[in-house]
Amino acid sequence: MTAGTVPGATGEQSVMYVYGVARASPGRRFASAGCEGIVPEASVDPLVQGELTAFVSAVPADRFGASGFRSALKDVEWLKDRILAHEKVLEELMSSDDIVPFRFGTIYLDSSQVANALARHRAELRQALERIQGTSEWGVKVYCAADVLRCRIESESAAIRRLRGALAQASPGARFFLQKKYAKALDGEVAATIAGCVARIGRGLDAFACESTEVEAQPAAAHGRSADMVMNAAYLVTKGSLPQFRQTSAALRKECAAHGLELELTGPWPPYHFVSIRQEGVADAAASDQ
Amino acid sequence: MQRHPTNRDQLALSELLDRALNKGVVLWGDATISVAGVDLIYVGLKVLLASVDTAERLRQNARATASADTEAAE
Repeated sequence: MTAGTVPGATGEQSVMYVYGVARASPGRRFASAGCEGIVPEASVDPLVQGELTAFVSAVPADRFGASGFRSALKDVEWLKDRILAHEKVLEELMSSDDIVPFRFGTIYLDSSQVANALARHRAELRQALERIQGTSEWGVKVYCAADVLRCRIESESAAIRRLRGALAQASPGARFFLQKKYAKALDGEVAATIAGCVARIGRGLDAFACESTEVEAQPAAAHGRSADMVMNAAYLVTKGSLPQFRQTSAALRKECAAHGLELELTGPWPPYHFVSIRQEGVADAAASDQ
Repeated sequence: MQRHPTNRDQLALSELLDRALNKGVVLWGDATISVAGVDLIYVGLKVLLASVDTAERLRQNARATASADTEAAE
């Protein structure tokens, strides 16, 4: 293929958007081949290099090229649809194949450059494919409305009730210190309740996952809830363990709810958190043309 | 699936902030022309906030329309 042009494209300059990598199965038609790509008019095509297949779309260089993509990133409506499209393509691919997901926005100049990258990183990519074989990723986020939990503990905890009783009868002089003690004890019980739930969830789910990883808790701006995110984790689960994993998470969800915490399970996701190939340090064209 | 049916895009975006924008394979080759040096998390957060705004505006509009209808009916 000639650099910068792709058969079927309308003769405009195009570049190659990469979604992820699967094992090559020569001669096989991928179910996903031909599905809608990162932009509606782009198809998703397999690009075979040795024993690996990259799934790619030829996309217009004016939007996805070095400088075009950077300015395109400022258009939030456009970008939102692209992020969701990237995910949708990977979800379709993973319904029939093990797939190593690439980060959003991985773009090469042309298909020979994609093939070169696959050849250069053949060993790591094969390892990554082995690691995620027959699995999917599941997300667990736990939210806690601290004020609700606080009220619950204030009415339910015997120790806290005792302290409140003492506080009510305290002399004005002793009151100040008792007040401090009360607040500290309450904070302590809130923290202990949260920590206990989080530990139980971790232990319970780890039993049915082949790998797990903590994820940084999101700020309220990202998750958009009034409750705080007190746990964020990703689990890699084999197809065989999935029913037990889901049952356990449903049971833990109930258990947490009794303590005023909400467990949210999402998935199946492409195994983003369990493919850790990162090779950086090469200044890209976009960086150098600014 | 435990995904929110009503709010799928919103939820998907906040999940993708952790995933498609933060994780996944990164192979910067000589020919990679994408997002090296771009803080995708920050970019994604802006997208998310913009869509929260949009959803909130739609809700408010719906509420405004509903109350206008009620007033008109009275």
